[in-house]
Parts: sequence; C-alpha cells; structure tokens
Amino acid sequence: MSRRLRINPDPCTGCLNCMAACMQHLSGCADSQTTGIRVILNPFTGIQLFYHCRQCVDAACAAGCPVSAIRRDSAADPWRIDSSVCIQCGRCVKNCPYQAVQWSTIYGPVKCDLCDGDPECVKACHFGVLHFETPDAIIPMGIPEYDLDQNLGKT
Amino acid sequence: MMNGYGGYTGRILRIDLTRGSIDMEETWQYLPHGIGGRGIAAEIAWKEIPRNTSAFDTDAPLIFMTGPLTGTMAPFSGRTTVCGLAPQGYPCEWYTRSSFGGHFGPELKYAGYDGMVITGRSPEPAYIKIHNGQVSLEDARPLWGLGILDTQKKILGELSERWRVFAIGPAGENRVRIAVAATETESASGQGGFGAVMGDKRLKAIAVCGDGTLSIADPNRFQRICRLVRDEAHGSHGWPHTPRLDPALVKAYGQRFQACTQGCAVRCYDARYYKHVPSKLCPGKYLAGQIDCIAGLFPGAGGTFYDWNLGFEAGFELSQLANNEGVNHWELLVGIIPWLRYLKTDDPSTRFNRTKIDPDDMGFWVEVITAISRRKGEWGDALAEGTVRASQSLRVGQDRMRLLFPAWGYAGHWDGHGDHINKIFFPYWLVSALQWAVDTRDPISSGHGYVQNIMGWCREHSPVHGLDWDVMIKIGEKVYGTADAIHPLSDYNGKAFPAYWHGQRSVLKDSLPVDDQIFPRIFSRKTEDHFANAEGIPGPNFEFEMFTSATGISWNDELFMHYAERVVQMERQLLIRNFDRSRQDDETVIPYFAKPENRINPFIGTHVSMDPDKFRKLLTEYYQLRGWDPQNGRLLRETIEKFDIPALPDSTQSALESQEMG
Repeated sequence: MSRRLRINPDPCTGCLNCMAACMQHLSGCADSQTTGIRVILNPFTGIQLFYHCRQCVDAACAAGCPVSAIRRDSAADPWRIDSSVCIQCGRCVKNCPYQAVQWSTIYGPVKCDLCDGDPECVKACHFGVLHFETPDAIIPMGIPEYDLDQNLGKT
Repeated sequence: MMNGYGGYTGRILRIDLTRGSIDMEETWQYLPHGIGGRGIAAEIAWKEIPRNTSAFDTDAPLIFMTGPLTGTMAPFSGRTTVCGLAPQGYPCEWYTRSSFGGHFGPELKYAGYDGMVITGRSPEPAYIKIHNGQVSLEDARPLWGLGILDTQKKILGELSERWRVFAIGPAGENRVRIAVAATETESASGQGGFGAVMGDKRLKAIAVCGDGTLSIADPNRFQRICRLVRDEAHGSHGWPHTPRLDPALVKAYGQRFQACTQGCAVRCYDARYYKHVPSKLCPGKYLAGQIDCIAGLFPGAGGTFYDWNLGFEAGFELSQLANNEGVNHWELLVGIIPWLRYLKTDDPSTRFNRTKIDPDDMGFWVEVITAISRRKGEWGDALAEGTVRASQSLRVGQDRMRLLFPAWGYAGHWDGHGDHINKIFFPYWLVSALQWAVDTRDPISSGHGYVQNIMGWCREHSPVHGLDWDVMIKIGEKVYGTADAIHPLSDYNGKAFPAYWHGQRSVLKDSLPVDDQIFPRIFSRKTEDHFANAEGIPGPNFEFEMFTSATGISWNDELFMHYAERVVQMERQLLIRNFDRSRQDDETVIPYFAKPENRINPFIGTHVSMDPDKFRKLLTEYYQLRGWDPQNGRLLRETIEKFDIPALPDSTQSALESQEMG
C-alpha cells in the first residue's frame, strides 16, 4: 500500500491553509497554480470539493506520460514528476481522473509529492480534515472517507 | 514581484466608472511607509479626498486594499479593507474603514492587484470583472434589484464557482446609510455604509478570479514563522479554550465550523455554517449559509438584554434576509431593534410604519429589514439613514438612542454600556472609551485586542481555562509597561498606554492584514508564564516577523511600529483638514460613558460611571503619548516632523486658528 493523503471533509472550515502551505512548499512563494491540493467550497450549498493525488496503483498520469517523467521507486512511494524529463505536454493534467495534477505557467505540471513523507498540508490542517496514511499507520477516522475507492483508477 | 518588495503584486487598479476607464498604478510609490491595506488607503485618501467632499460625490474614491500577507501562507491574513467617506458617519461622513472576510482578497492578489480605487458613477448599473490582466466593466442591469446572495449566485452561474464576488443588495442600491456590501453568505464590509457608496456609483458587484504568483522575500524564514504563528494560535483570542459544536444543531441543520476568512487556523467562537435549515417564509425550501459574530443574536438570547424569542430557524432566515437585502447586522441587532423596543416601552401605541413593534414576531423583523432596504414608508426611509439620524428626523426616542449609540453614528461595542452582549466592567471600558473618543466609527472592528482579551481570559468569565489576575497583571506589565494596565482596581491609572498601543495594532490588523480576533498574541495556555511565545519570538512580535520575512523590508521592530503609528497620525491629520476634528469632538463620547455601566466589577461591587474630569485627564495623557496638542487635539509640529506627515494647508490652519480665537 502506498503512502497517501486521506480526507475527512466534514470538519473542513474552508480556511485553505493546506493550499497556502503547499504553495509555499512547492514554489517557495504563493503561486496560486502551484499546489498539490485544491479545495473549492461553494458558500451557497456548503459543498466542498477536494482535488488531490490518490497515489493510484495504476496511475493514469504516469501511464499516459510519453516520456515516463512520472515515476516512483516502489509501491510505497508517491508518484513524482521528474522535471528534467518532463516535456510539459500536459497529458497528465488531462488524464488524471481526479484533476489532481495542476498546470502551472511557471513549472508546468505540478502534483502532490507528499513532501518527502512530512506533508505540509497535513501539518497546516488544525481540524482533522487531512490525514497522512502510511503502510505502518492507518489513521483512524470517525466517519467513512468521502470518496475513497470510487475513483476510476485503483487505489 | 516585478520589483520592490515581496508579498505585494505591485499594482493597484484605478477604475473611473463615469468614463469607463480602467488604469493601473504602481503600489511601490506608497511603500514601504504605507505598509499595505489601511496604510496605503490613508496615503491615497489624503491626496484624493479634498475638504468638503461628501460620500456620495461622484469623485469620492472608494478604496479596496489588501496587504502584503494576503493570499500567502501567513495565517489569519485573508481580510480586505475598504476605506472612504462613510455614509453612516455622524454628524459628518467621516473618513473611515471597514474590512471584510471570505476569499475575495486573496483572489484579487492572485489576479495581480494589491487593491482598487474606484471613482465616478456609471451611467448604467455595472459590475467589474477581473480575470488576471483582463479587467472589464460589465452590464449589471439584469442584476439590479437582486439581493447580495442572489447576485453572487447569478454571476457565479455565468462564470464559474472558482470566482469570488463582492456585491450589494437593494439597500446599497437605495443608498441606505447602513447598507453593507458582502461576499459569500456572511462576509460583509458592514459598518460605514460602503454598500451605499457602491450603489451611488451604480456599481453592483466586483467579480475576481486569478492564477498569479506572490513572491516571498525570505521563503525559509517566512515558512518557519508562519508555521509557528499558526501552531501557537488557539481559540479566538478573547477566550482560552476551543469552542465545540452544538450536537443538536449538528443533527438538525448540519452545523459545522467555518472560517470567516481565508487563512484562519482556529475554530472560532463566532463562525458557524449550516447546511440545511428549513425556511419559515417559504415552506419546503431549505437554506444554507454562515452565521458569524453578532448574527448569532438573531434568534434571541433568553435571560439577556436581547431576550426576544424567534427560535433558531427564524433567526437564521432573518440573518440571511438581512444579508441578501444588504442591511447592517450590527446596527439592526444592537441599535435598531433595541431602540424600537424602547419606543414601545415608552409608548405602547408606537408603530413601525403600520406594524406593531414585536421583536418576538418574525413578520415584524421582515417588515423592518425590507422597509429599510427599500426605504418603504416614513419609518423605513428614516431608519435607512441610520438610527441616530432617524431619531432626529422622526423626533422620537433621542434619549433612548443615546443609551445605545456612543458616537459617530454607530451602536455600542465592547463599551460596557449600550452593548449588553459583551461582558466588560470598569475600569477596562475606559480603554474602549478612549478608542471610541479618537475614532470615526465603532473602533472595535480592529480594536478587540485589549478589552476582549482581558475579559475573556479572566477567571470571572473563563473560570476553568482562564488565568489568575496576578498572572495577567504580570503579562500586562510586560506588554504595557505598568501593572495598572490590567489590575482590576487600577481605576484611571495606566489606561492611556493600552489605548495608544492598540491603536497601532489596529492599523497592523487592517494593513498586513491579520485577523482582529487573533492578534496581537498576548495570553497563552501553551507557555509556562502564559505569555504568548513561539520558539523565543514574543507573541506581539509575530506580525513584525511575518511582515519582514514576506516583504524583505529591513525595518527593525521599532521602525515597524513607527510606520504603523504614522498611519494613525495620517488619518488624524486628514480628519482635522477635512472635518475640523478637535478635542471637543473627541469629548462627545463622555455623556454616554457617564451613565452607569451595565455590569459590575466584582472587586468593586457596584456599578461605576465615567468621571468626566478624570476621563479628560486620561484623554490628555493619551494626546501626550500621540504627540497631539492637549488643547485642541491637533498634531504638534514635532509630531508632524517626526512622522513626516503633510502639514495642514495654510487656509485650514488659519481657519482653525480663527475659530479658536472666536
């Protein structure tokens, strides 16, 4: 089983500190396009949508990459984009069924790399929305995860 | 960052609605001395709001400003400050500010702008559409007449959910002096009546969407300090413990915590979202939205001054109705309804238009809200001018009004008298009185730092999680330089400095910006001595650390506070130039506070009233700290030089001098 983010949406307050922390980590600044997690909250319905990498077993982003720029060393590792190989064709952005690969006009495709095993977004979330799941520790949650395994790939 | 400093985009939009022109200017000309937000707005206002300008003059600018931290990782930094001449102001339309939350400000920054200065009047209703570098004026005729919530839904439906919209409702369109402008379901620029200014300019809304980048001068230091600040904060600062949801409301209406603005890292006492509340006015329909702060009073609060009993569902719906119509919640709940109830007590035959005054009846509230927003009937039209002006034009209840409204056209707030919600007793409201005296609006929008902090943390109000007085007094000594600042038997001693110190902190909140309920960090449950601290950085220095690491501006702590104070001085000079603001004006708060307080300091055991003579001495002490003339409240020559403030024009100076001679 890979390490990945799990989301329990109910306690989310819409603060977007996860996105801001991710932007700062990935871009060293606040690049609104460079984030591995996006949260969109509709204030009129209360519906929250989370866009983040599921670290799929059969990852559509990696499978469709013409230069194999999206790789991981083992099944336990996150998928990473090797920017030295990436030709910025944008297929990964289109292929991801979860809209989890963002397009940055500065960096090209951007996705969650789990911050070398210490995700900034999880640390920034004070409300128990974001959890980091590892092979050794499955973080218990009070309610079922909202979208787990309903994805088009296998997780 | 094209050049200049980190955190800013470097551009301010200039939109003239009369000519339909859209221009840009560089932010750098206002930096570093302007800091951001309210500070930059003061620079613009000094140059562009001449004496004798009214809030509804075509050329009067409406200024929207973010700050260098907006849209970054800095926690609690999502609010936007609106500045201009305020229709709600009394007896004149004082220059003032009113911030709002939600996610609009960060989106404006991502679109590439630090702020907007809007002038003119559109020939037809219009809305501003900002998508990165593309800025256009769009036809808002189909939106005219719609409520704030409905306008947003319609624009979002045509664009996409990613956009953020700031809009007015019928109250703004009808130039109601207590009209708000707002984003999402509850984030309003409430006090000031800036919704009416937008309506007068025939500006229905501003929609924004951006994909840009904000540079950070020292990314590693900034990331570290943001983490520390985010993790140190706990609870809204007035209370030491974390609030809980109400299981009954969770079950019935899907209650949950909701940040009132981007970047908030705490579960707040004041903000809740409800996913499905059945409508009383349209049976079968369900409502969703947020209730923040004072709106929690709509249902009524049994056993308090606000003891009407509408129940949660009706209260929630009325809150949403007021949001949609664009009527100021604070004025309604702390001013209008209590005032009308007083009138009924004094004369049971009094009617609001033809409606019986009955705060327990939802229909009465609907009539009041919609009559005001649409200026219906004698009472609706009168109260659309605000309660203070209404009591004069209707010639009723002026004494009652004076029990509820301390000054400047705004209802009480953390003052221990007309505001019966917030628990505050003597001597702490003396600092509020000083804040009220020298401001142009209810000062507590960015002035909670002293009163709410002390009252929330003391054992009287937080018996389990609060702090002992001796602990708080020691912390007060460290922050304010004297034990008297917090000692419950300190009387009038040591109260001028906290009012002075928090004046600068208020500017920082509105300029960086950072949230008023959280900053400055003073008390803590995470340190041994209970003084907020994160890895050696004292709580009150958090703003400085975030600002300098984000912007790269190489000020020391002292210079940082010097420039924050410079904004206070700029605003005072503007008030003197434009409105002849004087000590005599400042002292108009005295009769309000000279009435008995509404709670009792347990160490004193009896209600206390302000002693006017002692307060005048306190005001002099405050003036001395500020460098203002104790006789007339004007900036002394050395203060003007110290802060590099523009001098008053010769004509103003001589007019003021001849007034004094006369």
